[in-house]
Formats: sequence, structure tokens, C-alpha cells
Amino acid sequence: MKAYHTKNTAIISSRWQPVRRGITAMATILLLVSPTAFAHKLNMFAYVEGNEIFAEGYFTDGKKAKNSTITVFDPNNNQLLQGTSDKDGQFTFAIPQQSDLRITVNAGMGHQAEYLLLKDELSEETETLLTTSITATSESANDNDNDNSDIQPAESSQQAATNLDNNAIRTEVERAVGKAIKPLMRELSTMRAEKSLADIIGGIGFIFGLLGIAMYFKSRKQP
Amino acid sequence: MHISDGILSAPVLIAGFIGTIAVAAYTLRQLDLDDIPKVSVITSVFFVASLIHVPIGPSSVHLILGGLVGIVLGIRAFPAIMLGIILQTILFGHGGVTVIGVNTMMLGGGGLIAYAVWQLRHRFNIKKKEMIFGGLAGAMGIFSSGIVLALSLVTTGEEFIATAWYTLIAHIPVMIIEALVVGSCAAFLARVKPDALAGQLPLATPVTVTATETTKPSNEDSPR
Repeated sequence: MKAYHTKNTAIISSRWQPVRRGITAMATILLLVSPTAFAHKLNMFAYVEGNEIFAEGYFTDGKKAKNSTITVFDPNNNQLLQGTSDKDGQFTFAIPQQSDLRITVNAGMGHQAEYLLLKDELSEETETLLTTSITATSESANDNDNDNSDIQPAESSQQAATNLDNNAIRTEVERAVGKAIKPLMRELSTMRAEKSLADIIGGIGFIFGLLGIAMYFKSRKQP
Repeated sequence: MHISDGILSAPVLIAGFIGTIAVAAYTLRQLDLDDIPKVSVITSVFFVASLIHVPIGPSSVHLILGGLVGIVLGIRAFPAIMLGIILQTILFGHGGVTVIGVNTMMLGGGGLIAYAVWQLRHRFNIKKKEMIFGGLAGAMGIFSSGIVLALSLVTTGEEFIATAWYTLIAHIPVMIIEALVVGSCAAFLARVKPDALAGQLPLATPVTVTATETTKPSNEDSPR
């Protein structure tokens, strides 16, 4: 009787050994696997920097979309220009025209992402630069027409110089702000691409729910 | 391994939808009431698998597990993968709505190929065949999905041989990881719960092999 019992427990433990081994294997896999809930999805963002547009493609695991084709379209889907991103996944180009621009990045193997750059987003900066320089020149022209004294041109030129200084300061500030905003933009676009736990749980809920409905109808059909 | 929106042309997308609906309609008719709980669990695994990243050097790959779905669900893998892909598209933004058909043909087809490879184990009488054929099924699932991916990219004007090689090389790490994961899962399930695996029933399998397989656990059970 005793011998039988020991044999029995031995069999039970050998039966449970694969389970234990399996749990250990699962734990190892889970440890190896990075806990980030990111998918291998291609994202891109683009913004205006002075007279240029800066576009960057990246995967959600942080890898840059290097050597990928970047294409720019106008609102009527005509291709405006095409280029290849550098090793940091970046591509810079001059503003081709003042309209909404659709920028796509294709990283091969079916990975493509697009970004819509709106017109007001790109025109504002360049337009303000243009108008200020125009008002500066027209002011100086008016001054030259009205007053013929020797001092005035000097003053007006001084004014133009301060205007130019203002312009330089403005572009410098805008560039600095652009640089400061860059990491924020990047953060924002990664946050937009991030999957929340709610999505995952929700998806599993969907699957169980849908198949539960299927089961309900199937069970009603069967006698 | 999802194709994004805006790459493939309309005829390819429509062909993908037609093929998916046809195969899904056929396979859904094989779905029994008893299968549904298993299908929902495995569909959830597939749905979440694409979020699990395995770091390889500076880069990382994510699991697909089409092979696992194939060896557990058999031909019911196709509707399961279809549902998983639809939800991945809606909730995670993988691929795109217009490409659901092509993506399902790609990954669901991989699941079916994995099942076909898995069924080949009955023709061999070797040790640890569940692990070996599970691993092979995992790798072949990815391989065949890669072939479908390359084929569908050819329609956009990319050259087939170059694209196929590029796709194949890029997916070698995924194939190895999937082979390990699916192989160990198959070996684990074969020991702990053999009836959870597809093709274990004496339906399309040689009678002698299944007989030995089914008698084994009952022998172990008898002393208890």
C-alpha cells in the first residue's frame, strides 16, 4: 500500500513537472520581453522651420526610418517633390508652395505614414517676414520722397536698420522657439501613437463579447 | 507585419477583401459551439501578441503568433486572425481599414500554412515532434506571410525577387523567435492538455498514430 502511494505521488509530480517547467519558461520569456506596450508602427511628424519644412519618420520603438522615401503632395494629390531621408530618418526641403501639404513617408515592406501640414501653419512665418521687410522698405521710400533734408535719410536708414535688427531678432527667436519646441513635438506625436492599457483590455473585451454573441446564437440554433 | 493604408492599389485591396470573405465564410461554417471559448482565448493572444516586443540589438521585433493560432485552432485560425486584425486596426492603428482584407489574407494564410506544416507531424515518429513541428509551423507561418507580403508589394512596382529577399532577411529574427515560442507552446500543450491542439482528433489523421497518442495519457491516468 505504501509503495503504491509513493509511486502515485511520483507519477503526479512527474505529471506536474511540465507545468512547472512551462511556467518557468513563460517567466523567462516575459523577463526577456520588453514591457513597453508599443507596436512596430511607422509614424512621422513635420513642421516648418523658417523657409524650410522638416519631416521625420520613426517607428514607435524609437528606430528612425532611414533611407525611406518621403513624398510631398498638394491638395489635389499631385506630387510636388520626393526625397530620401538621411540616417536619422530626417528630410528637410524648401516650402514648395503655399497650400496644404500632404507628406508621406514609405519605409518599405508595407510601412507608410502620412502627415498633413496645413496652409496657415506654413504661411504665417514666411508671410510675416515678407510683410515686415516690405513695410520697412516702403517707410524708408516715403521718408525719402517727403523730406529732402540731409538728416532724414540717415534717420530713416537708421530706422530701417532697427527694423532689420528687429527682423533678425524675430527670425532668431522663431528659430530658437522652433528648436525648443522640437522635442515637445516629438513627444506629442509619440504620445498620440502610444497604446493605452485601456485599448488592450478593450480589445480583449471586444473579442470575448463578439464570440460570446456568436456562441449565444449558435447555442439557440442547436436543439 | 501589417501593410499600411495608401500603398496598395484598389484592385489588390478588393481582391484581398473578396479572398478574405470567401475563406472566412468557409472556415466559419466549420466552427462548432465547443470551439468558441478556445477561439476567443487564442484570438486575444494574437491580438495582444503584436504589442510584445523582443529587443534584438538596437532594433526590436514584435511577435505575430499566426503559427500558434494555426496549430491550436486549425482552419478556424483564419476567422480568429481576421477578428484580431480588425481590432488591431481599429484600436492600435496597425495597417489600415482599407488593407484589412490583404492583411488577413497575409497573416491568416500564414496561420493556415502553419496548420498544414503542423499536421505533417503525424507522418513522422520521432521524439519531441510536437516541439519540432510546432517550431517549424511558427517559422513557416511567418515565411508564407512574408511571401504574400512580397507578392502584394510587387503590385506597387517593386521588383519581386529583391523585395522577397529583403522581406525574408528582415523577418529571419521574427521567424527564429516565433519558432521558439510556438515550439515551446506546442510541446507544453502536448504534455499538459493535448486536446487543446488542433488535429489531435482522429479526423484527418492516421488511426494508428492517434491511437498510441490517446492511449498514452490514459495509461498514466489509470493508477490514480
